[in-house]
Parts: sequence; structure tokens; C-alpha cells
Amino acid sequence: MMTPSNIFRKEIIETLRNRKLVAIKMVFPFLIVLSMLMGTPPLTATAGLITMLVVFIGVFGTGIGIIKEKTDGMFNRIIVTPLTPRRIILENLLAGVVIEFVQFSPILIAVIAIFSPSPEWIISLFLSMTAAVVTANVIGLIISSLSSSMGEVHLYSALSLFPVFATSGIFTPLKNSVQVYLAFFSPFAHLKQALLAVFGKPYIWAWHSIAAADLVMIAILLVLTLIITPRLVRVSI
Amino acid sequence: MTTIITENLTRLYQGGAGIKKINVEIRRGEVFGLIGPNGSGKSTLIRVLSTLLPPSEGFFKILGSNGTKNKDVRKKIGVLFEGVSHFDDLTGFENAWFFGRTYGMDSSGLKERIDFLFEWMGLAHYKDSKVRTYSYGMKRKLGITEAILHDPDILLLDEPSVGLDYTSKLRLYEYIEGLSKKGKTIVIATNDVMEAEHLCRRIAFVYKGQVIEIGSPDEFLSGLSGTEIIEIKIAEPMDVDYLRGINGIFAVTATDNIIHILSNAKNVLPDAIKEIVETGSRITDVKVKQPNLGDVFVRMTGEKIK
Repeated sequence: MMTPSNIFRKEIIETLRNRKLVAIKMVFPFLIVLSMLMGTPPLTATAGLITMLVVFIGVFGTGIGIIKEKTDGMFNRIIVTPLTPRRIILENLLAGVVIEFVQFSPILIAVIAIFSPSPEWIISLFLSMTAAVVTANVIGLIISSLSSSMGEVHLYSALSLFPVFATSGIFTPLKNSVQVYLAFFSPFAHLKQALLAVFGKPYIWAWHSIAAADLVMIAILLVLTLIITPRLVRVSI
Repeated sequence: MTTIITENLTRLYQGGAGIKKINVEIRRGEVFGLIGPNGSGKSTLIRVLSTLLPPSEGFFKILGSNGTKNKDVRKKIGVLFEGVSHFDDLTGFENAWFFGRTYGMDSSGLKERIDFLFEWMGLAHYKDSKVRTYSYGMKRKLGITEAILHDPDILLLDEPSVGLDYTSKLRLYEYIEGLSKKGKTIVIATNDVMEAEHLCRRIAFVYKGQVIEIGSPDEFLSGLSGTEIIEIKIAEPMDVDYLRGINGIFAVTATDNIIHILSNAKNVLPDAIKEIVETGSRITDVKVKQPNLGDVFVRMTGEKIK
């Protein structure tokens, strides 16, 4: 039996313990995406929807999880243990990423099964999904450090995500070179473009450009997270 | 040997509350009490000493290490904050396991230690139940278990007996006395004066963020020898300032409908009763008591602890 010997394992156990919630978390996005894939909506909208779900679930999952621990005093108790702030944050981040990736696995498998993309696009899709999930979770961490209640998490998430969606071309196509240039720095844009490529729709960047950019982006995000760790674990009383 | 030393330790919140220029030295094997009313700064001092909050000014040393800079001191500290917070979807055993492991305890000894402490705390039957199903008192017991699990050299306890049943309180007191004999240092923030008198070798009265006096309970109580404590219960709350005019009364406080009088002269009771009755108030009960640390606090500040 798995024991909660560290924050990562504790997060996994807590998630698995609530079976009804796990089922909803797994089935709900899958059904939405599957209905779109099998139905008549344009595949560009489906790619945008999948990206949006990845972002929202990542940001809210991590942001709300941490703010709940902060408001009920649990985070304070963890901070005064010998665990280093970096370990606390990285284990929270890793748990959030793993849980969300597992949550989206059925969608990725369904997409690959239905559209049979080439191996290089499968790699690109997985990398862009990983980068998007990591980015969403890091945004969730940052938002939780700025917030003192669930309401603030919702507010800051909405305020920060809609500009991100707009510049990443999630809802609308990227029309000019400036938009394309800006979007290249967004892992969410990469995920949408990778999905468009897998769906057989027009896309902007080659698979190796997306893969390379995502690897760099994941590295940058991890370094950034380590740098801002003291701010992320700061107690606001 | 001094295990905790603070120098001008200050931590202020927005609005000015917090602690200001706290200077205390706490010795090895000592049970040290922080006594004061709610909001006096006791919990803030516990939070700073636990390294949760950095001081705004000043510093503190724990076992010779600078507590504001050397986070390694955390391994040597066990903390119980006020209130209850646990991972509600985990069992009591899993919660304790998590904290045991984060403090570096080996899996082999940890299970035995948890089993022993759960048995001792009366939680053995519930160790595999989710904490969500625990009562408030059980959650407090679990918090105490987690604080002492790794056998820390220094134990910081904020209101440790709140929510505990009588038997558990006695067990906790017994355990704290045992730890003290083993050379552990225990700091207790409480507004339970009987608890402080029973447990603490020395106490610090904390008032408006500052330590106003430090000493042993005996020293403080001997300062009140010859003092008579009178509690008069009245039907309706009333203004009691006029009682200060009675010869021999040096402190008067009122909480709801109980008037608390400190007097250093005999026979002030008839005069006080006469004055109260003349205002038209109805007296429902009168008690004359031995002074306790709460009365010492009233004498120092003119306010009651609770």
C-alpha cells in the first residue's frame, strides 16, 4: 500500500482517495472532447477547447489546492517542517503535472487513435501537452502565492488567462507575423498548433520547432519556479 | 543552559498588532509559559520561534543557531499551532506518517512510534479512519501526536489543552513533565492560568505584544499574599468604576455580569455589596477565592486574561 512519505505521494493518495471526483475528472473532459471529435464542430474549435481545458484544469487545480492548504493552516505546518521550500514547491508542481497528464491521457489516446498522426507529431503532441500542463501549473502556483482566498484565485486566474488565450491564438487564428512571433513563446499556442497538425488542419510551426521550443520552455519554467520559490512559500498572516 | 534566546524580537502585522522587542531566555528542561489574553501576541511569538514568520526586527537563537537564518533548527522543534489543520482525506495514521517522514524518521521505527502515541492519546481505534470523521478534540490530539512524534528537543505548544477531555489533559501534563525531566524545553502559550500554574517553571506575561514580566508562578503569587479575591455575580452587567473608591480595593474588572475585585484589606466585601445594592443591582452569587496568576495579571494590567 502507498504511504504518504512526501508531498508528491500525499497529493496522489489524496486524489485517488476521492474516487467519485477522480471519475468525474477523468470522464468529463474526455466526453466533451470525444463528442466534439465525433460530431460536427470544426476541428480548430476542438483544438482550442482541449487547450483551454488543459490550461483551466492546471491553473485551478494547483491554485485552489494550495490556497485550500493555506486557508486551513496546513501549508503553515508544512513550511515549518525541515522540508526545503524548493522541495515543497517542486513536489506540489510535479504532483499537479502528473495528475493532470493522467487526466488528459484518455483524450490524447483517443486523438491518436482517431487521427493516426506520424510518430514525430505524436512526440510533438506529448511534449507540447507536457509544456502546457507545466505552464498552467506554474501559473496556478504563482496565483496561489498572490491570493488569500478561493475567490481571489478565480479572479486572478480569469484576469491572467484571457490575455494569454488571446495572444496564444486559442480562440482566434493568428493573423499576422507579430501575433505569430508572440505566440511562439506560449506553450499553449504550441499545443493548439500540434493538435491542428494532428487533426490534419493548417498549422504554423514544424513539429521539431514545437518540440525544441517546448523543451526549452519546460526548462525555463522549472528554473523560474526555483527562483521565485521564496515568494511562493511566503506566509501571509 | 539556554536553549532559546530572543533579542528585541519584533514582528508587526499591518495595523500594528504583533510582538514588540521581546527579550526572553528559556533554559534547557524548562516548561516556559506565555500567558496573556487573546490578541496579546503569544501565538505570534510561537509562530516566529517556529520559523513560520520571519521577525521584522531583532533575532532569536535556538540551541545556539540563529533561528532567523539557519532553518536546520526546524528538525529540533515540534510545533502545535492553534486550531486544527490536517489532511482530511488521509487517515490519522497517514497524517502522522507524513509528518514523521518529513522530519526524517525511518519507516521501521516510525510505525511503532505512531502506534505507541495513538494508544497513549486514545486514538488507536481511529487511526485508520479519515481525519474528516474526527471530532475537534481528536484532531487536537492528532496535532499533539504529530508535534511530539520526532522527539524534538524543543516543543512549542499553542493552547495545547484546548478541546481535550479531562483525562487527555492530565496525560498531556504528565507527558510534558516527563519531557522536561528528560531535558526537553517546552514553551506553552495559554490563557488557562491553572494550566500555567500547574505546568510552568517560569512564565512570561504577554500584553499588547510585549513581555511585561517574567518569573516563577510562586514568585508572582507570593506578591499577592494577603490579597483577597472577591467575585460578585450580578443579575445584569453594570459599570463598576465606582467600586474603586472603596478603601482597600486596588483593582476591579467586570466580565459580562461577574465583578472581579482585588483587595488588600480585610472586610471590604460588606462595603462592596452595599455599594452594588444601592445602585439597584441584584446580587446572585458571591465568592471569596485564593489568588491565581489571572489575578496577578489583573493587578499588573487592570484587565482580565479571558
